Amino acid sequence: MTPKALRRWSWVHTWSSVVCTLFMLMLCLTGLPLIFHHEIDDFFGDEVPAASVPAGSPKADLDTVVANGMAQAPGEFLHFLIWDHDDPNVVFLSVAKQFDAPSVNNRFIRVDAHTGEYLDSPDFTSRFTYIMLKLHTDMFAGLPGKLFLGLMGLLFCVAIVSGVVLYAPSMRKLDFGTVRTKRSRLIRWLDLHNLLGAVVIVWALVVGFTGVINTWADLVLKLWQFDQLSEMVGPYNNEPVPKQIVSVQQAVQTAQDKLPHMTPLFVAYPGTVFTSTTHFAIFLNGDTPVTSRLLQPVLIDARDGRFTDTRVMPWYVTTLFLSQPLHFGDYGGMPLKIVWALLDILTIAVLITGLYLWVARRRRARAPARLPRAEAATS
Amino acid sequence: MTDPKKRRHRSLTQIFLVPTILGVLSAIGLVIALIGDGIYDLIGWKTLAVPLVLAGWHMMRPDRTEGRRPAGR
Repeated sequence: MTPKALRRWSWVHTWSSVVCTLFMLMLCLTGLPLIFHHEIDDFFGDEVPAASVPAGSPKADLDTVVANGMAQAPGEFLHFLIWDHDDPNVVFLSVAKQFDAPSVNNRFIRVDAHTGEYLDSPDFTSRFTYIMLKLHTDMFAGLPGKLFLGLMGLLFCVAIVSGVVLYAPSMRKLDFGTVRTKRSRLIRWLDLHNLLGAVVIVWALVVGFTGVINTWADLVLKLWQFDQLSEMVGPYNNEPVPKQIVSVQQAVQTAQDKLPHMTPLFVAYPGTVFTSTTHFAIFLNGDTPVTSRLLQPVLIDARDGRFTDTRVMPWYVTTLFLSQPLHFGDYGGMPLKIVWALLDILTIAVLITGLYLWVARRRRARAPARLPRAEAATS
Repeated sequence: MTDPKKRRHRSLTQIFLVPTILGVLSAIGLVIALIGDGIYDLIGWKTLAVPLVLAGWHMMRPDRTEGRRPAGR
């Protein structure tokens, strides 16, 4: 590599890193507890437990579930009915003050899936994991915050790639993994930066880039609405939300009959973001580790209960779905979570050593030139 | 930039051999745990843990390079 090219790559690496480092540190620190958010929530959880029933017990009629849950929320509107991912005995009702309000500030009502009885309505927003999640996804700044963090993630990816290029000249005289502990802190931390960077690189690139993809989720949803959803809805587009809707139990049953090998995950009520103004959208998933990430919607006309359409999601939604486990690290049990956490900690070390190298070299460059450069580096 | 060529220089292959192996192992680990459960998860996290173990080993190892070297890089 020519000295000129080296200087350019060095500039790219320095500035892409410097701009994103503090945000990446925040993301790594808030991401660390989020890897274990289930365990943390369980530990601090004070939820009313659902009745324990033998496996295979019949589920309560969904219309009863909805009626009992909504009795606790007079004047509010049901947006989504969600089967609890972690506890098959519980169904969540996601409700809002307005039927056409954005669903981001919805509150949740828990209902027993077997007895159909109201359990409680926990306030997630005061939880530690919720605060971490908000900081991690948008820093409480909504879509702009999300897209900004996505941009920082892209810079992080640029920093990783340029770091690979700079790794070669840095390691010309060293064996892999050499940490010159007898030398100055600058040299020691450079070696650690190189070693840990080389170790976490593929993981960091994958987690970083899938994180960037996740920041585009809202845009992907919008695209899907305009593209596939509007095609599926066809001529029914833009009709008013019906005053009378059919039984949700019946709608879910119709959807289940259409896709008998899939499991319903949640129901979007007419007028919410995941469906049209006149349809229930029942989202189902498969049962393998990969197909469980790929949701498929079935549209049921909420006015007469008839099946309207179901389609496999387009490639851009599938990409988003598949990028999620690779970002969360929640697909290989507790050992994978621990590996995820350790790699996250090493990434934090790469960020901190990198930041130190930048500060120390600037300081050195500014220092009066009474020492020859090389000696200053080792002092 | 002066290049004294006093010490043996590593080739690009030598420099990138270990990092490439670690990268491939990481990629295999990330994907394999996604494919299935049980044995896939086991292989997945163990493969992904190899770079971690290697990093730990190198950090524990005593420095075997010469101490302070005279000026000139």
